[in-house]
Amino acid sequence: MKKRLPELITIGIFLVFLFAFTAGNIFAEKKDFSENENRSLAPFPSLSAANIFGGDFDTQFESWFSDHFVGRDGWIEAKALTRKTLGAIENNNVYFAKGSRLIQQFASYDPDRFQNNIEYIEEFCTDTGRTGNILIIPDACFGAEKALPFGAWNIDENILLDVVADTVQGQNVIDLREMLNDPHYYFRTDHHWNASGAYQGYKAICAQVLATEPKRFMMTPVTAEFRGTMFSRSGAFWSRGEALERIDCEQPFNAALVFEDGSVMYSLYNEERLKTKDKYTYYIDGNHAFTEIHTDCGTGRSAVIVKDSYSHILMPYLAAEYSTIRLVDLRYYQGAVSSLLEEDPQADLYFIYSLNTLVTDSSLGMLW
Amino acid sequence: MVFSSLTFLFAYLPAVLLVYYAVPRRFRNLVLLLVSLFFYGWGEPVYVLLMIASITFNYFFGREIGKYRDSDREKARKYLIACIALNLLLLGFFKYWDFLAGNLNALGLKFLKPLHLGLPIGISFYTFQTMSYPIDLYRHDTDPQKSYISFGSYVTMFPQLIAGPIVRYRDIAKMLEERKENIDQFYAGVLRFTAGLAKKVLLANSAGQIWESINALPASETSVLTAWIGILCFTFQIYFDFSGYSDMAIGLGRMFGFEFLENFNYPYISASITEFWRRWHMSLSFWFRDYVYIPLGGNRKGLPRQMLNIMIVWLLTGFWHGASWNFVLWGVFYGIVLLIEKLFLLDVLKKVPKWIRHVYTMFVVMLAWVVFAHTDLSVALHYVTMLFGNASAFANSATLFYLRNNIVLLIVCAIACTPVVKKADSLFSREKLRPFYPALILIGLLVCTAFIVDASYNPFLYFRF
Repeated sequence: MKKRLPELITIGIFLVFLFAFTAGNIFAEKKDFSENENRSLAPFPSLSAANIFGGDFDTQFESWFSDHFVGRDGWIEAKALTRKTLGAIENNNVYFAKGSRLIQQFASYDPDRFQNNIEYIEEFCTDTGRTGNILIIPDACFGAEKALPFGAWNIDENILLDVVADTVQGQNVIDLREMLNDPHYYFRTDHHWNASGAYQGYKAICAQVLATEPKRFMMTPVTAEFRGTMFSRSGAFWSRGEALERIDCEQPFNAALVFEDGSVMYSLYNEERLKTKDKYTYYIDGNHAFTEIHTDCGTGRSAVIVKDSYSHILMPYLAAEYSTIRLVDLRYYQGAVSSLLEEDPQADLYFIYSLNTLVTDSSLGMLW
Repeated sequence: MVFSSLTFLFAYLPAVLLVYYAVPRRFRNLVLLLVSLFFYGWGEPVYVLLMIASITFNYFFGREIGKYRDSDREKARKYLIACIALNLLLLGFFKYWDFLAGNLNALGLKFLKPLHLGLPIGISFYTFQTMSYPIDLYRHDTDPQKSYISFGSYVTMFPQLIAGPIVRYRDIAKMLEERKENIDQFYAGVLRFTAGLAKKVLLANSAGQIWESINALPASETSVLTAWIGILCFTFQIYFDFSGYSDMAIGLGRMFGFEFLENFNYPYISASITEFWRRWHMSLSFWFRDYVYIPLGGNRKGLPRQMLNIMIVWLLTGFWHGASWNFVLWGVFYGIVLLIEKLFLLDVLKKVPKWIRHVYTMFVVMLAWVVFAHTDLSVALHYVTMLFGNASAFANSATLFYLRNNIVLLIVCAIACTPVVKKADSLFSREKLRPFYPALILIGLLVCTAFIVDASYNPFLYFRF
C-alpha cells in the first residue's frame, strides 16, 4: 500500500479537482452581468424540444457554463499571470508595458474600411461645403511608444495618419503626432488619452481653429480607482487603479447637457458614474446618440462634432470656448448630420476620432 | 463536446465516472453505450439515429459474415461487400456529396445539388473503425460479437469517437468482455489524460493563435522569417492538437479499463518521410496498410504495381483528411515523396550526416502543412512563395515581436516534440520522479483550466462595438 501512495494521491487530486469544481458550479451564485467584460453573461438555454433539437443547444449551454464558471475572473487573471511569468510581453493583445502600463496592440486593420471612412469624411465636407476640422488621435501604442516592452510591434500609425492627411487635403487636419509623444498623455489602464493628453488636443484646436490663446485649467482627482478597458482586456487584474480628474477652467462657467431623449444634466460630469466600473463615463455621461452642451462662457461660437468617446474628455476644455456644442455618435444617431449644419450655418464642424476607431468604424457612411 | 471544454471536464466526465463505477460490472458496457450516445448527440441530436443505424447494420452483417465465413465463403463475401459499401456510402454521402456536386457544377454538370448538411462528428473515424469489424471477421482475425450492447459500446465509445485513434475491433474485443479496471491503470490514465490536455490547451491552442495572427498579417508587415515562424507554429499546433487528443483518448480509455494502441510516436524526430509516416497517426496508416495496400497486392506484385498501390493509398489518405482538393494534393505529394524515397532517396540519405536527414524531413513536412492548412490552393501557393522570399523583408519588427513574445512556448514545443522528457523520466527511474507527479498534475489541471476559462473571455469594450 505504501508504494502506491503517490498513485493514490495523484488519482485523488484529479478526482477532487473535477468534482470540487463541478459541485462549485452547481452551488455558486450566478451573476447576470460581467463588469470586467462589460457585457451580459449568457442565460441558461431554453429546454424546449425545439431549442434542444434546433442545432445550437450545445453552444448555448457551453456559453452559459463558461460564463458562470466558479471563480471566473480569478482563472482569467491566472492565465494572464502565467503568460507574463513565462516571458510573454502581451496577453489578449494588450502589452504589459513599463510602469505597470497596459497598452493595446495594433496588429491588424481593414485597409478598405479605413480608406472608405476617410473618403466619407472628405465627401461629406465637400457635399456640405463646410471645412471639416479633423482631429485623429493616435493610439497609446503610438503616443506612449516609449513605454512599450522590448520586442513590441504595432502597425505604424505614422503611415496611416499620413494617408489621412493626404486624402482630406481640402480640410483642416489637426496633427497631434508631435504633441502626444509621451506615455503620460494616456491612461495607464485604459485606451483613452487622459486629461493631460486632451489638453494637448485643446491647445492644437486653439491654435488651428479658434486662433486664441489656450485658457488655463485646474485638474482635481475625483477617484483613484479607475480601472479601464485595458485592465479588463489584459486580464492583469493585479494592476492598481489610477486617477480620473475633474477639469475646471480658471474662468468658471456653467454648463447644461441635453441628451437625445430630452433629459438634462447640469454638469459636464456625472458623479454617479464614479461608482460603476465604467468610470470614464464620468465625462459628459459617456456614449449618447446625441448630446447638446450649452454653456455661459459667452463666446457665442458653436460646434458640431462627429466623434467617438475620445472626445468626451476634451469637452471640459472646448466648453470653455463654445457656447453650444452638438455631439453626434454615428453608431446610434438616427438623424442626418447635414441638417444639423443647415440649422447652424456658423458652426465649426469637427471629426474627432481615435485612429483605432477610424480604421474599424462602420457607421461613417451614415453621415448624410 | 471536446475533451478540452469546461462542460466535458466539470460536468460530463465526473458524471460518467460516477455512474460507471457505481454500477455492477455487467452493466458497464451498457453505461458506456448510453453515455457515449449522449456525448455524440450533444452537438447534433439527430445524428444519434445515424449512429444507431451504423451500429445496427454492422452488427447484423457481422453476424451473417460470422455465420457463413466457413460454410459458404461466397455468401459471406457478399455480406462483406454489402457491409463495406453501406459504410462507404454513409461516409461518402455526408462527407463528399457537396464536394462532388460543387465540382460537377463547376464543370457545367448541374444535376447534383449541394445539400449543406453538417458533417456528423467523427464520421471519418468511426466508419473506418466499424469497417475493420466485418473485414477482420471475414479474414478470421476476430470473432463475431454476440451482444448488441457490447458492439454498440465499441462503435460509440466516447474517448476515441470523434478524433481517434482508429481502434480496430479485434484489438479491444477481449477488453469488451473481460476488462478489469484497476488503480494502476486508472493512475496511468490520469497522467496520460492530463498530459494530453496540457498539450492541447497550452501548446496547440497557443501555437495556433500565433499561426492565425501571422496568417492574417497585411502584406506590408510580412517577412520571410515570420512566414517560417508561422508555419512552424502550425506544425506544432497540428501535432499537439492531434496527439494531445489521442493522449486524452488513451488516458480516458484507461480510466474505463481499455488499452488503445498508440497513435503517435514522436513523428518530428524522423530522419525520413518514410519514417515520419510510421510515427504519425499510426492507427490510420495501419488501417490503410491492412485494408487497402495489402489487399491491393502490396509489394508482392512487382515494383510498378507496388508504386501504383502506394499512390492509390496516398490519394485516399489525402482525400480522407477532407473533401477538398488541397488535401488530395497533400496526399499525392506525400505519395510521390515516398516513392522517390523508396526508389533511391533513402539510400542517398543513409550516406549523409544525420542532421541533414532531419532537416530534409522537417522541410518536406512543413511545406506539406502549408498545403494542408489552406483549403484555397492559390493562398497556399502564395504562402510557399513567401517562405522563399516573396515578402516585404527577410525579417522585420513583427518577426522580433513573434519571437520575443513566444520564445518560451516555442522552446517548450520543440522539446515536447522529442522523447527527452520520457528519457529523463526513465533516467531518474520512475520511483524518483513519481513523488512529484501529484504536484505536476495539480499545476497542469489548474493552468489548463485557467486557459480554457480564458478562451471564453470576451470583453465587450465600448470602443469596439
